[in-house]
Amino acid sequence: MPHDEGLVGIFSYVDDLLKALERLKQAGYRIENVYTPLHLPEVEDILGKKPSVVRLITLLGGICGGLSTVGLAVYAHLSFSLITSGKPVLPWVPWVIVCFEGTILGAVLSSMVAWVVKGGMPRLRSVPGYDPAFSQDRFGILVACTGSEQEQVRTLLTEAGAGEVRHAAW
Amino acid sequence: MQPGRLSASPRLTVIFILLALIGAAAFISGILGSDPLRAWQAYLVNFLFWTGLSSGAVLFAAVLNLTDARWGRPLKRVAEAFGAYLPVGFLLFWVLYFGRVEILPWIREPVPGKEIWLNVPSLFARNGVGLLVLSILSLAMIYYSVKSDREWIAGRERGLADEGAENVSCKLCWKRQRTLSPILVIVYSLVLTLLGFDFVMSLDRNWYSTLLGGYFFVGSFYIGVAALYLLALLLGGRSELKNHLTPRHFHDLGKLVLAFCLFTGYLFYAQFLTIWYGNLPAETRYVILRVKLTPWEPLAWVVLFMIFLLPFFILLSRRVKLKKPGMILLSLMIITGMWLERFILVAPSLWKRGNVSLGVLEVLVTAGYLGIVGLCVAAFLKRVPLLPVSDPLFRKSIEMKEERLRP
Repeated sequence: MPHDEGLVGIFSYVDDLLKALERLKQAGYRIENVYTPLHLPEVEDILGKKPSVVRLITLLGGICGGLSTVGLAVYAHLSFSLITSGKPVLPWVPWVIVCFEGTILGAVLSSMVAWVVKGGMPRLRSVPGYDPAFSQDRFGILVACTGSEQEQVRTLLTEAGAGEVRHAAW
Repeated sequence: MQPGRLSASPRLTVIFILLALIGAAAFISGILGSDPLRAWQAYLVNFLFWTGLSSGAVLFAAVLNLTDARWGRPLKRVAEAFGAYLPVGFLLFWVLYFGRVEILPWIREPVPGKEIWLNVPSLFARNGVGLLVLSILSLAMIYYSVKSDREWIAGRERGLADEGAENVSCKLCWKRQRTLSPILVIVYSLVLTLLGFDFVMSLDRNWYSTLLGGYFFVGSFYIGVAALYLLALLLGGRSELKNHLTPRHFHDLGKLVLAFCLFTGYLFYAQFLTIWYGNLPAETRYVILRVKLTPWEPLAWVVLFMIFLLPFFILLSRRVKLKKPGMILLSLMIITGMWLERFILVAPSLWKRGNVSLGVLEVLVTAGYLGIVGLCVAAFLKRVPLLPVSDPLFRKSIEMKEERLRP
């Protein structure tokens, strides 16, 4: 049954956050969202989620960027006869730098675009249960639960080490 | 907490002794045989490799002290163990004196204008003094680290009655380690640069590269970290270390290996690109001989794959860094690749026949060195606590478990 309310547990430590997630998962509660200011692969492991597709897009962007800049260099050398004395017509040695720079540029741009699109930005409506501290020094877990379950969830979050538990609705 | 010591089986010691004896026998029969150059060349490559490995691993402990790093504290004693080889390495260095005519071509054909630097008494004096200072500093740092732990353990065994006196002594030891660490880092870079210049660069009489020293000592640190990674993986399952070496340590060590794989590759490329652009015969001959001409070219590609391309792509993955068998194989590959890299830096300058001088003799001399280093490391770890129990940052890392991360 879809929920439109729940509780947000706010944590200071990673191990408390992971402990709470494991307990919530074992108890069968629906975890709506996890907020963290840094990437924690352990969260993905516990929730059984696949890594974000942003990684793949970054990789593809990097490969395309690298190949494009080498392609541009080949085109420029052949079209304008950029031949240096004593060097091959297509010198791969300095192109390692060109390729490296192109790879970084392609990866950064594709990563940024993927991050904006995948994150649904700009987000005009506020995110349920979000607190600015989740972008600084706190972790948060948003658990969907109805009125009758809320007391159990609150106890579970507090016992796992949540410094604060708030009500959230969406 | 009472820290344990390494309970290595006597069989391992016997194996190391046998390896050392076999290596010594192979080396002696090599220098007395029809082709002494090959034996001396294998000896020189192994001397450079194992000295770099040991001093690089000790440098890891010094860098931990220097940076106040908490993450790698359980690895500190394992890193220090390689320092037990350094005084032996200093003695092995003097063996090179007897093969000087074979391994230093400028003795037979002096280079006009370079006599001030390239003369035998000066070369052995400066490198000998350098290695002696490096060994003394390393052993002093390790001595204070071990002394502090022993006093801490003795204090715990006596009870807490004289905890104050024990703390004063431990603090003094810690202060001395902190003082010695930055000095050791500077001396390491100077001595390894000197070894690179005198026993790699000077073998090709006319070649010069100002970056070779930096490349040589960074490469040595790369070998040291890879060897530390391997030893930590092999010892990690033992009860003494099991509770302290977590997957997070191996993940972080894997990241450090990746970082130095990149840095070593970067320094190689920085040197290669400069030589390629300048295209000066005095500079290019060294590179062309190794990467363009038969018989060394295939070996150069093998080295590139073993120490840079394969480790780079494999270590990108977090999951792989957490897999013990895979990482043991990868560390072995990097260590073997770096041995081949030291070989290809040295051998083409000396070996002028149309083949790659790699065979049973090289393997046996390497096995001999492995036996000596293995004996030193095992003997050290049998006599000292496996964990730096009195190290204030180790104690902090226990009190505040790493999992209690705050952003």
